[in-house]
Amino acid sequence: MAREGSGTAMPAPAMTLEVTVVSAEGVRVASGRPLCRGAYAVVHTASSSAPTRADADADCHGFPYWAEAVRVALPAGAPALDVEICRARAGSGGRPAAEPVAAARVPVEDFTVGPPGHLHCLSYRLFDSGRCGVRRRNGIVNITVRRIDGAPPAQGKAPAPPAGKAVDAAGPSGSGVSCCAAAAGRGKPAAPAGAVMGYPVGC
Amino acid sequence: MGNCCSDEAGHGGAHPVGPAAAKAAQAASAAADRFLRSRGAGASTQIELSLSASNLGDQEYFPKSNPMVVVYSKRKDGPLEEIGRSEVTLNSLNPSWMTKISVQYQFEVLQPLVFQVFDIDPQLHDVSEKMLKLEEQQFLGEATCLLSEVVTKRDRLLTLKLGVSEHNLPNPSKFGELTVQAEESAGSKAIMEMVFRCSDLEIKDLLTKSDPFLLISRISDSGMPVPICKTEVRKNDLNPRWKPVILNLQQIGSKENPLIIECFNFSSNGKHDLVGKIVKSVAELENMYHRQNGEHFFVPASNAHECHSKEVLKSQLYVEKYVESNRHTFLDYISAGCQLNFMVGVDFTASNGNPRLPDSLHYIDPSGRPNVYQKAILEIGDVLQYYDPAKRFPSWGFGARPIDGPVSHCFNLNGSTYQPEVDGIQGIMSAYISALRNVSLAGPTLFGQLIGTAMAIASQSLADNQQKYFILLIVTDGVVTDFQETIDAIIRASDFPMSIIVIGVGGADFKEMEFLDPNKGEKLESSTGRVASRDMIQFAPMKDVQGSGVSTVQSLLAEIPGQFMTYMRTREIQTVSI
Repeated sequence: MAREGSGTAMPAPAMTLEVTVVSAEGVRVASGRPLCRGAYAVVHTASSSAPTRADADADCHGFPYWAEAVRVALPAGAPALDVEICRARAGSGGRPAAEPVAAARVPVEDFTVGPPGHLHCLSYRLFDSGRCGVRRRNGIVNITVRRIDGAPPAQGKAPAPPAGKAVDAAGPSGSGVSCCAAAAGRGKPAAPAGAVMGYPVGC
Repeated sequence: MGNCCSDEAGHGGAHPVGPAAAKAAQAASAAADRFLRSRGAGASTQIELSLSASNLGDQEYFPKSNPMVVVYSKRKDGPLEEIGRSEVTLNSLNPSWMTKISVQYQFEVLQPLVFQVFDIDPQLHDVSEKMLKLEEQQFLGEATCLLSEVVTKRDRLLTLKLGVSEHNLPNPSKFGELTVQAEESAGSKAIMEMVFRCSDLEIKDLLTKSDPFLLISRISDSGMPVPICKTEVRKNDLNPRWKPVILNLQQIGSKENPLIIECFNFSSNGKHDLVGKIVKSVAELENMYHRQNGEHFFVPASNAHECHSKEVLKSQLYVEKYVESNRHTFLDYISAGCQLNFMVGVDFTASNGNPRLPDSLHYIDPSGRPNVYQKAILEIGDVLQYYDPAKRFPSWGFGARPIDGPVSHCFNLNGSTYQPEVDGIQGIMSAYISALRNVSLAGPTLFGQLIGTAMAIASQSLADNQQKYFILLIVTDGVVTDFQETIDAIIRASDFPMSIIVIGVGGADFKEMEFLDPNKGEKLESSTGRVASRDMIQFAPMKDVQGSGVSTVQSLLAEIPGQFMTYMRTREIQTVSI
């Protein structure tokens, strides 16, 4: 198996990662109702935490969308990073309180295979946060991870879209999960995960 | 699942369309089903061929020539069927015909084309091309090629030597050359992104909630509405603004064709009430956007309380956004140099039966009739080989014991210790046959190592900056024993440029393999909580298909362009400019 750099015997070196939290699906809050508003994601590593902005949609029906990239540092030997979905609620005394809703663990092996600069499109099962005992499944989160220390991205990216804004939307043959990489600075907005493609009706 | 409508209500099941008459609803579902099967963003697209020729005829004896070319498609072992013919070019031995011939490109089938060039009698220069009787004209040469051979060329240009006819036409003494250039028709690339908004929706029944969604249909030749796409459901919203809808010009024909836009009130029991309807063409919608005009919904007469006229509602539809652009299609990537690399894994488990006995699935018939394994490999390989100029195919076997060795779950079919590649489809066949003599069938049926090895090749290709997409075909006679390991391997592989096709042969019950079928199984989940981020594996049992119709193998191949495009789009991989 082509394991570049981190063999099973060697612990992973320290890395800088660009994690884009794209969206989540089927997320429910503690009461069992679908996540409504104010959802944001936080990427935790052993040495840093980086939140995204809150989803601006007034009611995302459990399908929040961010497509926001954050940078985190992963210390050497760290086995994983965590992605947590939280929501901001009006706490007591008027100050907003953060309520963790669901979280997923991303093992380092999942983004250390393949060449450096490879954009890893990953999806994980979310589990309820802040509950001891039985952890209930709570939807799915879609992220992309790219290692940004070291070599620049290796993909052939000679831009050649014809005139007009090329719309990169979720492909038609897929499970409806969109793994759009709206990497900062690339300047090409991807259509949101929920964009209807105009392809088959069926559902 | 091919559906990509964002139905935010989160319900997973299929729901019929509206309370229209049962027959119309059935027709709509059948049409939607056909759409589902023909999906794939480029699995089927219209191509226009431009033709030219040089050095036609014998300059010494026939200095003047009025050539015309006729294009046929060759049905499987069948007669030629004319697709089109060019105009007659007067007095030229190096014609460049203006008429473009339209062909429907289908990724999943071999599409042989036959070109015949004729010299038209100058006395017939007034007769329309269609009326010309070809048997009476001077034959100048014939050429054959596959449509996939043309579109996989760098500039979609293929030059063929004209030669003798295989179809009983008298031969000229000297032959020239024919050049075929393929171009995707403009409609296939043009897409329109629109955002719709409604005001003041009236839901008649005050007791139900208002959860509106839009369904957009085009009108087929027979007058029946054919659904094209729908928006997500907006919950409890009387002034909904839906997420963008993207339409492809090829789906609707032309911007002037009328579209039916119906607003339904979503109901979880599947019986959605029609709220209102609008009929507008895309050109009119564009107009509505520019002028920010609204258009009132109406309720057709049969649904309205008054039975004699349609009822115009106060709710209006607005077009908040309208953007036209061009998308990259599957063929754009192919012509830009993206290759599809075929890889094969063959099941050598003991359940296949002793290969020397005629009832074994691995029996090599001395008459040359292919066994099921050979058939599966040939059907898929024959189509895919044209998308790989080098035609070096990694081939493996699994579940067998090479001579004096332990059971291997991934051994090179060519017998080499170092590298798994063979040359061409014939290379796969010879390696397969010789492997059968050199290994003892064993077991169990494990896919994990095979998928991992294929994934390593895909990963290495990425590291080498190659524009390759890999398609691994696994032919097996049984059910996998390592479910979780297979799932883990598939999920890891989904992050790389590859697709997996699994074909089940023989009479086993493949019910437990349905977990690989995206239409039947659930989302694949690994042992570490990771789920597949895209659909890249399919399974189907290979049935003996008699007669016409889409074979199992064809429907598996038809998914590939869509899976390829999903991979490319989500990673924003651009095609390299030519």
